[in-house]
Amino acid sequence: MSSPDLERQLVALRKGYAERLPARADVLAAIAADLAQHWDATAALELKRHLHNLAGSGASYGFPDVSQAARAAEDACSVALAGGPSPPLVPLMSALEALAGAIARARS
Amino acid sequence: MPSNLTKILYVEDEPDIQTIAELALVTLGGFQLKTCASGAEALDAVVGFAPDLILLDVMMPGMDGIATLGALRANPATVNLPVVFMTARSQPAEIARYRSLGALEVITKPFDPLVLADQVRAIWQRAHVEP
Repeated sequence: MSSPDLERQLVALRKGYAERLPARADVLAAIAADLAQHWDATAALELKRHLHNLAGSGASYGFPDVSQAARAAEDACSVALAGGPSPPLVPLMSALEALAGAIARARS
Repeated sequence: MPSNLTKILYVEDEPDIQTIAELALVTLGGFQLKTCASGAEALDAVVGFAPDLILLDVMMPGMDGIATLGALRANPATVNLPVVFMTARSQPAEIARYRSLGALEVITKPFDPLVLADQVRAIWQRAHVEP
């Protein structure tokens, strides 16, 4: 495959990934809003899985800030999960806000 | 272990990561690739596909990478199949643990799609050089 063809494919994949990011951000925000109302470990594990996938994919598509912010939020989620039935959520919510910012910048 | 790396079984549950890895490994790397979305799917496919190497995500819902590796090692048909873990968690202690479980090497996610195929080839070549 020629370099321009490859470049075109990479650009198209990157564009598609960026276009899907807002929907993923909406899912994260919905889970976070539920957790803020009522902590639930199963929902937190689902949030952690989403964060893990973002952390593992963002930089591969050219968005290292998304990976980095998702990793920080995943770590904060792990801490919250280890924090008992009613863990402090401020660090997790702050990390999710930072991730939302990174996603918004990726789309701009 | 065959001398040439041609066929790779790739196990990853996240579609976005699958897509970029397929570009890296097939389009750029020229490998024959079969992608599975779960450990269970990989166990069903591995004997029929007969890969030279498995790239195995560690954290997957259901059967994770470590359980999948255990199942591969328990099957005489796949006991010696080289497995490379791919993980977003790559602290030294975790990498040492994965190697102690029998992984040939560990590739960190997110990976650079422009170098992933070369990384895999380098791992393969090292495995043939090292005793």
